[in-house]
Amino acid sequence: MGRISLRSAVAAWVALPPLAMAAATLAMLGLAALGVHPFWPHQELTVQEAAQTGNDAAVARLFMRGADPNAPGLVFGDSRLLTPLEAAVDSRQAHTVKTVLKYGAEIEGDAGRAAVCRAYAHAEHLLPLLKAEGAPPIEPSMCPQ
Amino acid sequence: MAPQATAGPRPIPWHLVSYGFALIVVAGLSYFLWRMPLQVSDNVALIMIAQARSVREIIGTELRTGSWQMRPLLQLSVNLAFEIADALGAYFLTFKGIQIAQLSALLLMFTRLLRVANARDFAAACVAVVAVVGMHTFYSTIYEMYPINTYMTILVCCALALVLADGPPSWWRDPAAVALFVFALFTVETGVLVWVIIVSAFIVGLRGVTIRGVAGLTAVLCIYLAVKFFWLTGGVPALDQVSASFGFRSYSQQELVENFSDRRLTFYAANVASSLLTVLFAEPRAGWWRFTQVVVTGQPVPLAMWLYVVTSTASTLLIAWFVWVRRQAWRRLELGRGEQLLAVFVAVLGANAAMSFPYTKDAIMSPTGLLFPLVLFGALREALGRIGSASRPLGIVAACFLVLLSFGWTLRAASVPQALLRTAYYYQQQWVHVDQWQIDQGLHYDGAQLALIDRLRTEALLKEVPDVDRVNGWMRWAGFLFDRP
Repeated sequence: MGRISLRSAVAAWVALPPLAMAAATLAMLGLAALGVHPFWPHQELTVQEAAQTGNDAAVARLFMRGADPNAPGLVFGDSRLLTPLEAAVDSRQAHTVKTVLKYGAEIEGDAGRAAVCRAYAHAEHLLPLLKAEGAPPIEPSMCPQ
Repeated sequence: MAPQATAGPRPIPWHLVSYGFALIVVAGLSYFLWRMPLQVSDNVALIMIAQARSVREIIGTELRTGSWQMRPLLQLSVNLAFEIADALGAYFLTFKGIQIAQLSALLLMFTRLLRVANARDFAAACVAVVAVVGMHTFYSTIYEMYPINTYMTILVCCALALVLADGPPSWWRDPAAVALFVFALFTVETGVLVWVIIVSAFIVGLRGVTIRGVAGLTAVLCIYLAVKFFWLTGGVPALDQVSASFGFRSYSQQELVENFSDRRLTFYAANVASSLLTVLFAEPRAGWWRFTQVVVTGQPVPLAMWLYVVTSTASTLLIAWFVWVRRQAWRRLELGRGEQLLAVFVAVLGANAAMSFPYTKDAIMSPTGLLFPLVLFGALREALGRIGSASRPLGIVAACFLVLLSFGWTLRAASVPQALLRTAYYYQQQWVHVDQWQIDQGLHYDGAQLALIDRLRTEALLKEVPDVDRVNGWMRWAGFLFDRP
């Protein structure tokens, strides 16, 4: 009898990890059905945050859903409001800058000047791209400190 | 009034419980697969071919080009799926639906092969099912779609072949086996494993497919080989067709030619050996001895590498123990079900590894990777059955070993979603730059094709895919546990 119990106990312990995974899966699916995704914080990024983190797909999705390509907004770790183009320069990724421009961000005038200043401060390697795309040719001394 | 019979508690239908467990695993994976957009590379071009060419044109092209690959049904499957998607007007839904249907069929057939009868079987089955998902060879069958993953198709075919062989003979099994073999063989070369499974199963006594069926399959194989090697001018792929790994590094196509042109046999032998060992020990990976390299060079071994190598090696040791304790049965050729499945596994392992001689990667060995958990199930079942008969200290050690093994495989399986999310994020980014991708690839599409690409892009971009580097909780831990190829 004792031996049978030992077998059953070991079998139960062996099954425990996969069953725990199955229970977690059921809980996840149940919560997901209610719109809660427990395995990641399911909060929609702003287009500026998406641009700042180099998430081109989220940038494109938000623009496709009607986000303003030139409106300033908050980004991670900065108290100032940035346009999507400035935030894209913050990401230091040329592809993100191109994505923001592709969806209609202005690069001429004040918006372009702000982006170039941002590049002088954070991503000088993006300056040729910005200039090629039509940003105003300004010197670092013309940027606000 | 007749006295009522005293009925005991109703026995638990453990086989149904095991199906339920498998379905939960499928549902969990499907949740993450549903978040994964179709990929751009290896996918868009095939969909465009499906849109532009008829079935007849595809077969004609396959036979005219004389390629060493002869896979007419691969593109035909894509065409068929595309036609359905086009008719429904839902491309992602159709392709993803096919993927999830394949995954469900695979795990349900796998569970059927386990023949769970009691609680002990169920415990072993739980480990076997998570081992299917946790096998490093499995991941490649679900994270890529072209838009149907060919490796997954072959996995389903292999599982179905074993299901056909594993049952009482009946009139429909032989023609079904032949049709399955034709489909698998003309989809991709590893389809030949369907023949290996059915023939080896027949030899060891799993005779759901009769000698007539085996003869039919063999005739199809002969025709296939004749067409491939005598009609088509192809044969063995040249060294410069794909990049590959050898020893402690990977080689570009050019480097392969420079280093192995005069010692091809060494390279081919290394690939076969790598394929054999990777299933048993999770080392090397795609021909690259990563774990050994890290240990030899004194670098810290990543947790995921430890997890994979230790769980796979421990499982192989358990299977070796199973062979040892059943050695009398082997000597007398009194093969029980566990021995029969082990023999099929060995046959498929050898054939699968031999086929990988031109180059090896995890996905190529996925059929053997499916049978490994099946054999592990037999060994686990045996171990759980004997644990009560062992001395107390040995019993405790064995119990700890089995529980840790189960825990290890569960961690491997539970980290797969994190890898799927990471890949999903990467695929979604690809769609933003699909126009540039076409330019880089030198692809020129007409208006209808461009409209289709635009449609696919919109479908892909509108999906909510989290940036896996910015998630917390389990997903962050899982990143340390998944050993990415």
